[in-house]
Amino acid sequence: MTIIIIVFVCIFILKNVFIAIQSNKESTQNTSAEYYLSNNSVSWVGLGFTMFASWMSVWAYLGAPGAYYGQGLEWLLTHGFTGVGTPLLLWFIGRKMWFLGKKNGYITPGDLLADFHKSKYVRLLTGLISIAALIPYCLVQLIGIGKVVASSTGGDIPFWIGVVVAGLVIAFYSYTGGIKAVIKTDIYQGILFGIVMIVVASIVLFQAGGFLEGMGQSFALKPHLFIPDQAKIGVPLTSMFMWSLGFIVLPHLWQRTYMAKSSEELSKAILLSSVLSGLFITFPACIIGLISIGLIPGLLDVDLLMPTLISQYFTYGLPFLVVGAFAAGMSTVDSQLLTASSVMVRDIVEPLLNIKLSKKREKTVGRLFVLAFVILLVSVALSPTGQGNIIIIAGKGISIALVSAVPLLFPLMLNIRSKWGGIVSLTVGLIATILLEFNIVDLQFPRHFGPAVLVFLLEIILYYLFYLIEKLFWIRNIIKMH
Amino acid sequence: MNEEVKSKNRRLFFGYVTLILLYVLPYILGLFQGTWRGVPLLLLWMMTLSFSFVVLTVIGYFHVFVDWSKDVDALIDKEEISK
Repeated sequence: MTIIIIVFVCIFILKNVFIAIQSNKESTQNTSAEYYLSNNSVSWVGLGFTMFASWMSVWAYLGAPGAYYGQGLEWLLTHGFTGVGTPLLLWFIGRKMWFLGKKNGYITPGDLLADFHKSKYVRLLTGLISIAALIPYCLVQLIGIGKVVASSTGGDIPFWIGVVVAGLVIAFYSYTGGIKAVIKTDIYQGILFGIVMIVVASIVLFQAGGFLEGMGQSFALKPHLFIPDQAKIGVPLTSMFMWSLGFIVLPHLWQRTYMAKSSEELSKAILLSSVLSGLFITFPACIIGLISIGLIPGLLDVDLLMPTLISQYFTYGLPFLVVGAFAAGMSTVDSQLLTASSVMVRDIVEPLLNIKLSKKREKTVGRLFVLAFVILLVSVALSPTGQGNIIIIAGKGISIALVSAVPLLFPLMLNIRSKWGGIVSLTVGLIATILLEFNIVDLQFPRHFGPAVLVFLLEIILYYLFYLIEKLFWIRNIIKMH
Repeated sequence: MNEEVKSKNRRLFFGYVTLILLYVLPYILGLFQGTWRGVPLLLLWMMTLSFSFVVLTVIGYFHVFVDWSKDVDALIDKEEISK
């Protein structure tokens, strides 16, 4: 079986390499806008699939079924909500971001926030937040691939080989082909892991004797997983808030709102991405995870639920599972790599060194950063710090990304802008999130609400306070002038 | 954006808010504690609502965003906003 898995993975990798080389040949302008955003001319099919594949990554493919298995209804509250959270945010917030991006030629999240607040420091802080958010989120993709490879081959191929191979291939095709290669690979990778989810859900339903039978068995075995815990209601509500708002503020998905050719293409892409996420990820993951509670009780590492199920009930499906994991992980890391490199160049290097790189130089520096970032990710994934539960690590990335939500929403939705509100809320938000999420400061919040909600509320207060102070000074100056 | 599209937009937004409340409140308040054929009612309720979100998005696209997109694209052409 190991040989068959290796052959499948090699075919998959060669396909990605071929697409990258082809996209590189098609590149005509050799500029950063083409490399990162395909000149804002992505059609709805490409955009819909790249949104779907970049959002529904290893956390959805491996982490989500495992989270249903370990948390029951608590995770359904979060995951079931992403079906409404994502279109809602894209319809009402994303299209405004797209309009401004189209009008002003934005490439990174920092472009938009710096423009709103007229501040270089806001750009720099947004850049730091984006990179900090992408590290854990990228990391889970490589960890997931490594885990599936090791588990499916019974340890014949160790964890580290899976991580290194995935890192090398992603670096190659992101470096060579840019966003064009990423979108093309995202289309077939999205289809691939969507099909695997449907097939596994069907196997689980068949083995359990149907939906009602399977759910009934699980409920009978672990009823507490199907009853809300009122004392800890803050846990699912925090994660519901994080995983829905996180969609729009994660830097690689933020960047995707700029890419559409027209608003019609954006609207169609939102529809496609939401329907695909609901039908191919949310429902299959829910069925797989919840029915497996009764089907294979006692699993310790919940991230290994999918490989365990396939090994037990459909051994010949293992090569597809491994290739599906590569597809889910790589389709996300490739997007994140390009975003991280654009953020590094435009939001960190240029403001720090006070220089403006030419479009061609931007692309070259960005490509070098792609390579450096992959080396960093692979090193962290192989270190003891990189080990852990997929959903928990990804959640930390989302929590960091949420820091930029308040300075985005105030000007965009309420037309309230404050330069110092932006600087202070981003600085305090980033520091507070790191201290609380990584348990440097250990605080217990009422009803077990998580740091993300509390930091969000703190940022709202700070932003509005500084807006009022700035307004007060402005009124004073006007009075003095008269 | 013309008034008709604005009004449809507002209705869609309230549609989403209503569904979200129907989805979250039973969980928070601990409603639907019973079972149907051995399956928890709350699970069935939440899965149905989760599916309704997808349905509402499809309706939202055809009911609101086709018109909205035309409006915005016309505006962009008019102002010659391009990169």
